Order: sequence, then structure tokens, then C-alpha cells
Amino acid sequence: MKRQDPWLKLVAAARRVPADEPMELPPGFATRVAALGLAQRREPADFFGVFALRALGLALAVVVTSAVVGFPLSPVSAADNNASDDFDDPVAELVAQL
Amino acid sequence: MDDQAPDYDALLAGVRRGDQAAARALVEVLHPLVRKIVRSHLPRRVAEEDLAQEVYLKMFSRLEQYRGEMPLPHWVSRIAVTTCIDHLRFQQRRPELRWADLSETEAEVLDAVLSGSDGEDATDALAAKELVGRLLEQLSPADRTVITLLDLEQKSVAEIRALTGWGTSMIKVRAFRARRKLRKLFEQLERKERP
Repeated sequence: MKRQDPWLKLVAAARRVPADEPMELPPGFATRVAALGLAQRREPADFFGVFALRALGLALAVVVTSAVVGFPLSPVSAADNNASDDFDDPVAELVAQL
Repeated sequence: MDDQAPDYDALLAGVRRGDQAAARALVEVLHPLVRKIVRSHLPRRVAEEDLAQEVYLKMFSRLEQYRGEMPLPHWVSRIAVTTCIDHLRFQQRRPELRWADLSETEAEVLDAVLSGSDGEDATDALAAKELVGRLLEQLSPADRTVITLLDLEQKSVAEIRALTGWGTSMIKVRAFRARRKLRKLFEQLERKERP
């Protein structure tokens, strides 16, 4: 004779446990959850506000970092630019020849 | 028993307008359903009330996604089931079930089940339920959910499909896998662990 599946026997026994107590709401639960839920629904605008502020902060940080990192190079490049300006300035060359 | 179905459309319209009373009424109307799902799929160390609250907050935040293609209770029950599964995923799986870990009554029930004898009193039923819970903890969250709905709550595949949103074949595969794992657990307990 084939033995009955022990799992099926076990769940059949477990199902004999009477149903749990009535599904009553804890006091104040619905009010609290409704308030939280509605507050959450109003939040997307605030979320984007926070996001925009963060983006602004990040942009400022990038600007400051770029200025700090790029500053030492600028005098050199300025000097180079002046030298090349001197070289390529046809008026200056003409005046020099006179 | 209610002879009149709640007017979900009116409640939803109220919630969309930000009406506190409508939001509260919606929670009250849906609570028996949500609490039943949460209670039967509750992970260890998670309070039933906290999990139910999480389900409602997800419902409120996703309300714009609800297009009315299915009844609202079905849509909310899917949120409840997936929230429970997410929590079960975070819960660390229990180490291998050993005979020595069982209470005296659980061991008696297991012995009776394995030897094929029947016990009919309420104590046995309670111990059997505890034992079922211990065995279910050995399964993956999704498999556990399917087998709970199928074998404990005796829901049909169509009902599980509506509750979870999973396809028929996925439900059947999960049920098959879960039962195979449970069979192995019983064999293991019987061969290696039975005193």
C-alpha cells in the first residue's frame, strides 16, 4: 500500500486549527496610515525640490573644484597666448620694421 | 457579512483629492484582506501591524498606477503578497531543520505523520501548524508563498494567479519544486534524524 505524502498529512492537520481572531483594526491605525499615505502622496514636489538643491550643490562643488584645479594653469596659458599674440600681430611686425 | 460592496471608485476619487476620511475608509475596507495575507505570510521578527502599514503606504504611493484593469482588492493583494515576499527575502534562511530542534508535541506530530498514524485533537493541529511553519522556512520566499496559498489556504491556481500576478506554469513549477524540497526534508528527518 502506498504511503500518503507526509506533507499533505501535515498540512491537513494544520488546517484543522480554527481561524484566527476577527480582523479588527488596532485603535488609531487607519487614521495614522491614512495620514501617512496622504502625506506621502504630497511628497513628490518636495522630493524634486530636494533633488534640485542637491544638483545645485553638486554643480557649485564642480565649479569650485574646476577653478581650483584650473587656476595654476591659466597664467602659463595666458603667457603663451600673449607670446603668440605678439608673434602673430601683423601691426606690431609692421611697426617693428619701421 | 456585508451585503453591499464598498464603492471603491468613490473612495479612490476621495484619496486622489487628498480626503483624509476617504483614505481612512479605504484602509478600513481593505484591512480584512490585507491582514489575512500578511498574517499567513508573515516573516519571523516582523510585526503584523508594521507589515500591513507598509502595504497601505505602497498602495497610496502607487495609486496613480492603478488603472482599474482589475478589481482594487486584487491589485492591493498583489502589493501585499510582493511586500511579504520582499520581507521573506531579507529574512535569513533558517539552518537545516533537525529533530532535536522540535518541541515535544511537534516531534510527536512528525512521528505520527511519518509513521502514518492519525491524531485528531486540537493540540496536534496547533503543533502541526507550528511544524508546517518550520518546514516552510526552509523554502525560498516565492516557493513558500505558492505552497502556503495552495496547500494551507487551499486556493486554486487561478486564485493564486490573481493574487500574485504570476503565470500558471510558474505557479506549478514553484509548487512542484517546493513539494520536492519538502519531500526531501521529510526523508532526511526520517533517515538521519529520527530517534
